[in-house]
Amino acid sequence: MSNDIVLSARNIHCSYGSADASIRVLKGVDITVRIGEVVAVMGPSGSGKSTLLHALGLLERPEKGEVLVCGENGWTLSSRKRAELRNRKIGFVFQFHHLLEEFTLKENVMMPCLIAGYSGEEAANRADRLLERVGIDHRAMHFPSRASGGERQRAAIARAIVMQPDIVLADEPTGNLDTDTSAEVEQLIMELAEEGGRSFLLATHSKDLASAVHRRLLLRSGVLGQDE
Amino acid sequence: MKEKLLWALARRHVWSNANSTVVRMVSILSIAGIAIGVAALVILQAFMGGFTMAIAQGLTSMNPPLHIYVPGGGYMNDFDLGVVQSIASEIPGITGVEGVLEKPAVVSGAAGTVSGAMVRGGSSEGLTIGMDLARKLDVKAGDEIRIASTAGVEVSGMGRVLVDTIVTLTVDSVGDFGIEEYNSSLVLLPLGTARDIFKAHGELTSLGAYVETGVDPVEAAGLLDSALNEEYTGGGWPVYMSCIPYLAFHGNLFKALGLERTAMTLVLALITVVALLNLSSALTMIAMEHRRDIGVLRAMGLSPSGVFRISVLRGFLLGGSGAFTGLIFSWVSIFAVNRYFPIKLDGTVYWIDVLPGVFSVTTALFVTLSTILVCFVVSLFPAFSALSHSPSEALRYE
Repeated sequence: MSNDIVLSARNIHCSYGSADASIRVLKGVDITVRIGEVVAVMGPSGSGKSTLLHALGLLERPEKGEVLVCGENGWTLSSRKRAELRNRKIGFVFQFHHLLEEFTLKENVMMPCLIAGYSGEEAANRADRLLERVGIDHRAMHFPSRASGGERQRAAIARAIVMQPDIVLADEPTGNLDTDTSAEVEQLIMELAEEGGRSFLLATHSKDLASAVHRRLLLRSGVLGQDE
Repeated sequence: MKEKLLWALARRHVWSNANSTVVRMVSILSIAGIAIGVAALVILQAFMGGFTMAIAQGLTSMNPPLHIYVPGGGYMNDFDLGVVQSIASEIPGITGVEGVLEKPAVVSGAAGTVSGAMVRGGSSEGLTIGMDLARKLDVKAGDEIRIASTAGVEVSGMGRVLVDTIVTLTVDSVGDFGIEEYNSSLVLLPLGTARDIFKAHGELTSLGAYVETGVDPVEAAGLLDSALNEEYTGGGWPVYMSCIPYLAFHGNLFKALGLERTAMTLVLALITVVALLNLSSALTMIAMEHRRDIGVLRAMGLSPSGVFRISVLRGFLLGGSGAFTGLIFSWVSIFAVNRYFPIKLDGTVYWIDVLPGVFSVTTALFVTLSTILVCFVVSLFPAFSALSHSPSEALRYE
């Protein structure tokens, strides 16, 4: 395997439902993401974009196939090792930010560091730097319920990259935002990818975001192909 | 740091203002339920234990804790007292043995008053009569009473004959013996005076032995009884003596009190059972409310064991808060009842006038820790349930 590949998956199969009424969502998906590459997966609603991201992010075990994160076969590891791999190598951004409502924005950003066992001081320093970078340091001590949609999504992005992961998986990161805010978040994602040489795999409907990435893939009928 | 994080997550899942009103309400209700259950059990034990202890103290306040007697009702004498004192001195924890002569008599005080009484001769230095008996006879300290006995025995040329005696004595003090039965019938005298009244020189009806503070009278009685048994059966003595703890005379009473305490404990434990069922549903609701958050935490790298521990800690926090609140509440309640709102009892029915609450640290800690332990067990179900969902399922949960 080439050293510049951060994520690769081969022959991923996923389905839902019981054996006699199962819906096959992914039918042998292959994908490779290289260092610093920003890839968009596009496709109609219900095409399995989220399922693919969950399988690649080691959140949902595929029926068949293997997922290599920085060369490690994620689904052959123990659940504890797999959790460590997610913590160190993968960042997640969700469509509805999914911040923890009981914690401030800063505490939310600190969370992956605390899970990794970092000291509170180290986690706070990292969170402060990132909140400043994404432009919401003035909201650090606010709870998510007091922040706007854009601010929440910026906090979610800061949380996704606080552990300096090799790849960030973002599921419709701008899907729940208005046009202006979407543009700001899209710009932020591209800047962060450029700055850190970090890879992003985005599931998106946004034509604007898709037009800015390095490579576009289309998921249709459970199969992934190059977008024309 | 990681443990601190898990505590913080569990605490905010249970307590935070960011939670829905429903979650906050079920948290408060769970804590209140467990607090009531724990407080009910601790308060019940305090008052049932206090009642039993007050009765036992009242009964033993006028009687030595160990009772030595001749089975079948035979008399003893000063020689027997000497033998038993010698044997008892070898037994650790027993501080002394005294002789007692106790017989029924008729007493009269002011003109026209008369009452039956139990006259006890022992280590008393003057004449003390029970407060209710003094009231009945209309006498006080310094007044005279007459004690009449038909039980005196004299030896004459015709053999042992019963003789009547009437003696007039001055009341030295009026005593409150703690138990209505004693207050209404007991007359305490020096042993010599009692022997004069009953013409029973050198005789004793029983012996009483005292033990050091903290020594279990039941254990000490067993040791002395064994020693007496060995001495009398092995030494060819004509009289056999036995020793029992004084409270054994009231064994049925204490058994009945114990049975009542057990029955009430079981009934009140049902409150705790209901509270635990309530806790179980609260934990399930909190787990559902935070199911997606758990998915997010797992996406960030929280291990399955971390998820499990958060669930258990939620139960521990709710159960522990409830149990601790109940513990404090019970202590304050018992203190307040004892100090400001004493529970009055009819002394003629219950032997004691006030129901005392005795806060037993051991019992309270046992109830509290057992409740926390059961809360832990109750929290296992939602904890295992949380593990059964994949992070992806949890993230999709709405």
